[in-house]
Amino acid sequence: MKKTLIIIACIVLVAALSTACFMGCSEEDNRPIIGILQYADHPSLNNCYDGILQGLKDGGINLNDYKIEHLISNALPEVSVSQANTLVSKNPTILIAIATPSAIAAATAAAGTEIPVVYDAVTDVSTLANFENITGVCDLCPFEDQLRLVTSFFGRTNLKIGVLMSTEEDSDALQLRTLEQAATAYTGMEIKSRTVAEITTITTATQALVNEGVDCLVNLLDNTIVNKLQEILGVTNAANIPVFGSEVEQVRGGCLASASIDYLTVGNLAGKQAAKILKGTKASDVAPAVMEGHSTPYYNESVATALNIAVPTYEGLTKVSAK
Amino acid sequence: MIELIDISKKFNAHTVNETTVFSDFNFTVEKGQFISVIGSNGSGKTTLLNITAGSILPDVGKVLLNGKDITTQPEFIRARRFGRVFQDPSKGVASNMTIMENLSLADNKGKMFGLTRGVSKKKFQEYQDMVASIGLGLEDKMHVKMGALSGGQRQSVSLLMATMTPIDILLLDEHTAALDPKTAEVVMQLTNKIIKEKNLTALMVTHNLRYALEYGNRIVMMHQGHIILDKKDKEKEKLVVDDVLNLFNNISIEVGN
Amino acid sequence: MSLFLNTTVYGIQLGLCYAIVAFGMYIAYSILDFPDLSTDGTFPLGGIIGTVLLYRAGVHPIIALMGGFIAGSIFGALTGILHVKFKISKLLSGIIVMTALLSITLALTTLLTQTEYSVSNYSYIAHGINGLFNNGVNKTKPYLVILVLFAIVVVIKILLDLFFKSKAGMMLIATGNNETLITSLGKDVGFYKILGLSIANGLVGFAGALYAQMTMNYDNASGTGKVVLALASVIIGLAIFSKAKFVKPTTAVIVGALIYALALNYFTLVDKNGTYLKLMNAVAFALILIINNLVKKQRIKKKKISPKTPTNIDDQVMNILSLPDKQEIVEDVPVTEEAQS
Repeated sequence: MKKTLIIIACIVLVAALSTACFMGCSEEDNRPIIGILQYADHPSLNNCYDGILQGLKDGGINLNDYKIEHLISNALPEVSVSQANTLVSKNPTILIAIATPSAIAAATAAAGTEIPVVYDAVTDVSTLANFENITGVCDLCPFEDQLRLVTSFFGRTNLKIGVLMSTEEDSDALQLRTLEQAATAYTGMEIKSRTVAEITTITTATQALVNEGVDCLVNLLDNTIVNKLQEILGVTNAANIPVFGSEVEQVRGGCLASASIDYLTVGNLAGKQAAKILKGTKASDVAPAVMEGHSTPYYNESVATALNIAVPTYEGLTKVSAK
Repeated sequence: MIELIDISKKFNAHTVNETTVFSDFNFTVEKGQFISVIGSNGSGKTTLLNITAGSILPDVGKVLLNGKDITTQPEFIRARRFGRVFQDPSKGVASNMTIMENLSLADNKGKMFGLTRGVSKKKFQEYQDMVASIGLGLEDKMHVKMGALSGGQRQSVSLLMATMTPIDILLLDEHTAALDPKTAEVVMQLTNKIIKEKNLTALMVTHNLRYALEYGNRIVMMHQGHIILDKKDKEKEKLVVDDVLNLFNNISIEVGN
Repeated sequence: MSLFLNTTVYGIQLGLCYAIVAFGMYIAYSILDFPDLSTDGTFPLGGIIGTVLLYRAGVHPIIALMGGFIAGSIFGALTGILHVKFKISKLLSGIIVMTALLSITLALTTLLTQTEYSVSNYSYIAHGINGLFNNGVNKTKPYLVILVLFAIVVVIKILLDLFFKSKAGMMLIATGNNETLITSLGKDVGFYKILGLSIANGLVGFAGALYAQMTMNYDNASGTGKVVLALASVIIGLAIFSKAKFVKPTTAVIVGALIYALALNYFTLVDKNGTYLKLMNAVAFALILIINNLVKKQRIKKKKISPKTPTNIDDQVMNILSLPDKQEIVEDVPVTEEAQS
């Protein structure tokens, strides 16, 4: 029994000591803090981060004047919340949050304080309504651009387009609505969606869409689905059906093409917004940014060859090679 | 007042180990009888008790209580009017509760276990006197957890608990078998005292021939699901250990014990 | 607020919230000897019901908490029914209910979005939901939050203590100790198991609703790891106070939860990205079980508990957990013949 007490005391002591040490170490740095909260370690989000730093520089901020606290929450919302609280307690001059769960955590933690929040790569901005002293970049896909690219590859508009969604991605509903809205501009275009509740059944769901006679798949910004791209391609390639990615990385990974937004740009825009705020503009006076007009069309030549699809003449269509 | 009518019971039916314990077995307990049931292994004495209590259901036959058919009545409902003490002293008490708490619970048997206070300070003296009458010095241990007490002490409290509320019959399931001889004696005497004082009907399964003869007013010996000896009152008093022992040995040799 | 102070404050807030989950687990594991794994599901269930009640029915936050309790108690009873009536093992009953709840909580979020699509996170502030701790963007000050949480925990603790002193409560305590006694007292054992699980999970649901209000967000994944966390709190608390006769288990469990939550929070200061969080959880839990085992070996030596290894999986699990306040009797009772005599 004594052992229990001693060991527990040790755990708490060690924890407390490490904290004290940690605090002691950061005593020396008096520079104002820029807190950057990143939801997951993920290529797109990493690009955001790089873009943010560049954007700050582009906005005239000397990064050496600031201490950058960069925390990554490994896709755990609870960790995001605790990280946001930690950052807020350090009284940063600004909080930048990459991806929706981190943005919600940062906004909640900063509510009631003077700390301005810039969100980045948030697809559904209604999740941040009512918060004050906040602005940011919405990365909702420019579906008009995407559909223009898709119809260009097929040479017709009466297409059945399949869409896979997961239950993990909260903004899927909004994305689907936006895609369907964009599709109304095309005669005879139909969107068929399927929700994958259990990600291990992704191939079944993909096959089901194929069986419904879709001409192609269009990916949403959905990390759960995109992470299973190879499995999806396994099914679609066998059926000779192209997949249009939501981002250039997916084109490198085997998608036919994408009217891709560039996450470096997504980050850059946020960095510039942050710079304005650091220079004195109130966050509420900085306009939120959207991705319309910021996409670049990419295609994968070897995929086009494999699927026997002719590459159309398309303004700005850039070739990318496989990874 | 308790009748077992045409009871048949098989264990492990339809398997290689199938054994028939009872076949058309009949047994009656009259009110006021204190019956000792003895017998060799497999004689059915424990099954007899279990069927009466409802722990085991017979395949065929009826169990009547004062004429009412209780054959399919669940064990816990029967327990409201039955008292039972098991061989294992741990089975009769809650080891993580004190004597006081255990007695309080037992006193509530048959009534609602609602949200009112479980232990009543007013009853402390009454319970303490009850416990003192056991004679094991437990009256000073009213607030000691049962787990800290010895088997004999626990068994004594179990006896009290089983007989605190009005019951139709007290079922004693080899309740001294796990105790050392000295403690067994104490518990047996306590049993007798309580039964006499409360005028209880009791059914005691035991291995101890001496107890079977010394206590109670009816002795029943069983063998392979049949009653081979059933003496009560004066006839029982006339029996001597040797008579019973001879009979017991005969059947034991037969069975191969 | 300084970093250390802030971490401590947040840790205390979490600890108080988790203390209520620990109350529930104390009833299930320690009192009823039932390894209930459904907690990871009932916690977010309480959260979603509480949030829906606040958002769609506009009830008072306390009513929302009670809604969480009721929701949790229903599914706790379900776990009990699966075990008692359908003879499913204790572990499996909990797992079945937890698995079902993963879908159910997700489905219930459609009540928030009022579409066919579920969400995994729903911010209170963004959607104008006011819980106990926020009015729009205005958050309650942290110290006040602690005060309110503390008051809630104390009220629940007092209610539980009173309940355990009542006749029904005593029967519940006896059920986990000696099922035969319950039957002998003329009551149905199954009823008490179901009742106990119902109350236990009701508390977990309450805590889930409280957690959602505290974090001003509904998080579908908030249930993950709650079983381990609550169990660790119970074990730590009971172990520390096992020799202190005047400290009630309910108090001990609160302390255990606070210690565990604080330790976790301090740890995140060192492990900033939460990379080692799960590992630390696993290590801490393993340590706790190992210590528990050492304590148990001592008690076997001192002849306070029996060394018999049980045969079914449920009891084996409980053996491993062997919570410190279990008092078993060690005298080897020679059971003579079986029922066949």
